[in-house]
Amino acid sequence: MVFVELLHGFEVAFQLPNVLACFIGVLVGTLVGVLPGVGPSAAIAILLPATFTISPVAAITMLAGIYYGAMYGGSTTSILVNIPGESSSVMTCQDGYQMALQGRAGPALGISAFGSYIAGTLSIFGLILIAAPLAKAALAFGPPEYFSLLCLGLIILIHLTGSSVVKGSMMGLFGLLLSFIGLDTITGVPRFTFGIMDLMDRIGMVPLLMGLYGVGEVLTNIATGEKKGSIIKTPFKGLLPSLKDWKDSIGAILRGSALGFFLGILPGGGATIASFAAYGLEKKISKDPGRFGTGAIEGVASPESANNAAVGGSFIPLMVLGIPTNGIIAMLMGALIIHGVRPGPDLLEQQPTVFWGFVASMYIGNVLLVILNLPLIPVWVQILKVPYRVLFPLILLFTIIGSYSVNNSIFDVALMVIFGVLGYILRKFHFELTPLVMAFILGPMMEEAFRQSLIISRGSFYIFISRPLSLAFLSVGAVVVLSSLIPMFKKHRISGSSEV
Amino acid sequence: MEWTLNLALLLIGVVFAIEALGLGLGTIHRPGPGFLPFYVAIAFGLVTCFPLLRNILAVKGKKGGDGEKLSVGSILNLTTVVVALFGYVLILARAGYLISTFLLLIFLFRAGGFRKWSLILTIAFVTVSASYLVFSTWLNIRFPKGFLGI
Repeated sequence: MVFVELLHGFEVAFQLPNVLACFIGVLVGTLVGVLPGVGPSAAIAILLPATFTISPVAAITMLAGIYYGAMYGGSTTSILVNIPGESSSVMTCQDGYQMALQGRAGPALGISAFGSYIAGTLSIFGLILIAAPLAKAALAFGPPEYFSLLCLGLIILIHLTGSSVVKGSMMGLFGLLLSFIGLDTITGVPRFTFGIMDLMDRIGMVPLLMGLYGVGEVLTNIATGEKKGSIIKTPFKGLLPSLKDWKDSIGAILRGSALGFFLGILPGGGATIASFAAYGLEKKISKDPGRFGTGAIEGVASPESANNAAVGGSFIPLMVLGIPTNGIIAMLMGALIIHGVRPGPDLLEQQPTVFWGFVASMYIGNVLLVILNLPLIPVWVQILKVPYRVLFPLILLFTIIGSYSVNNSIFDVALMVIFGVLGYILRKFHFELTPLVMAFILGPMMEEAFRQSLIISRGSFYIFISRPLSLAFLSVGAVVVLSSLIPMFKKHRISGSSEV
Repeated sequence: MEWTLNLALLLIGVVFAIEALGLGLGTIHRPGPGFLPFYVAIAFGLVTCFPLLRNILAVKGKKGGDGEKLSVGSILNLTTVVVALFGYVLILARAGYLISTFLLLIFLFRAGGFRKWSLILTIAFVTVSASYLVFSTWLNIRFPKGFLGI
């Protein structure tokens, strides 16, 4: 049954507009991965309005292509310039750049691309195997279970992203408050609009995302100045890794794929955490850990495999439960909602074309990336030389056009600029933007589920703990909250006793 | 400086809580439009108090998490870009897309470090013309026409 569905997915994915969207997505993704200072979040935000005229399958294919394409592209700068194009490629710098200095940039780039391909493919199989049974189980969810699950997702994300739980909680709650602005879906009463008619229709997702990620990132880069590294001068020949390289790397690729996939499923996980964990694991189990950091090919293979596998894993909670596990996935969820597709347990049954078409397109995207990446490395190296002072006015122009074009609204452009400044300030003081964005997107769903639950139970909060699944989700949430409070309490006691 | 941000966030929480009360909390059997926003705003205000209190207590000679210090050049560039963006929003409707975007790009390229005016004007002109052709002529986005009517 799954095989037939997957075949149908390939039929959809191979339609010309979808292949073209996939190609554009992975190409843009690789480009933003290569360019330090431009992330996949900003690229997705900028290109989101461009998807409004295409089908939902083509749109999600293109935007997801940017996400996993950036994982591939990020390795190029890590290996050749020692500057991670993406945060998920930080670990690749450790051994990748050392390999390049030793004249082995080719095998480093090669194993990175092949490892990414293998991991990407394995994670797609994982997605296929887990999605359908999980969706069936999730069909039993009612409003109380859904509300509790959304709370749990938000709590875990706040707990895992960033260094401060307090700052993460602030951002999560702030995102919820922003999501309340506009007409109340149940009563039709305008809320928190302060007489501004443009706010009746809620704050647009595009101006918010483009502002926080696109404009905010540009302002941060302007403030911190342009980072420069020297590109390896020696010509890199022989991108195909040798038999010994494969022997050294295959275990790391498989372990990185498995670890990355499962970390991708967890809220707050994702490509960056996966790459760090996989590198740490390889170093730990290595017979000679001292080789790591001096040009060990496993040190390139494992984080690159893990970050790609994490992307596949992170689509499971989104597609099956309707819960984004990180900021980029939250943006993709926003894109799907704009296209009239509500991710969740019903997606596989009600819109199988979107789900299976997307899964198949991910495989096509992975193949395209290997084909694109290796021969185009000299081109990416040239692009790396484009100075940021040329890039940032163009990025800002695209964000302006993007936010204006959704509703032909100058108010949306103003909102985007405001969110851009806010995004810059929040980054400067080390506030995580992911909980804000995730809470903003999940807010309306949470409120609806909460109010429906109370109407069902005639005002009794007991409904949230009387249903086993809801109770389980809330219990896990409570454990997570307590686990973050205990260290804070202990720290406070220790500092208090030392003062005495 | 972090305390000003935390204070501003706290005030936002207070405003939302007051506004939510005005909307009506409803009853527990039938929650009103202000029910969830009120409690979220209260929680937001309470959580914001923690870092704010820490900022106030740490103000005496301690490092208050003010973020990275910026150079004068960076502050100037940042201010120019932000002012240019807000200025752009203000003149977009009256001046139209072509003129306002042309002016914005001149500002941005100049802030980016380009010094030759002929180069700045040429890049800005080419960029704005290309964007107009692609997005307005090809993709049919209706940009503000402004007083020139184009």
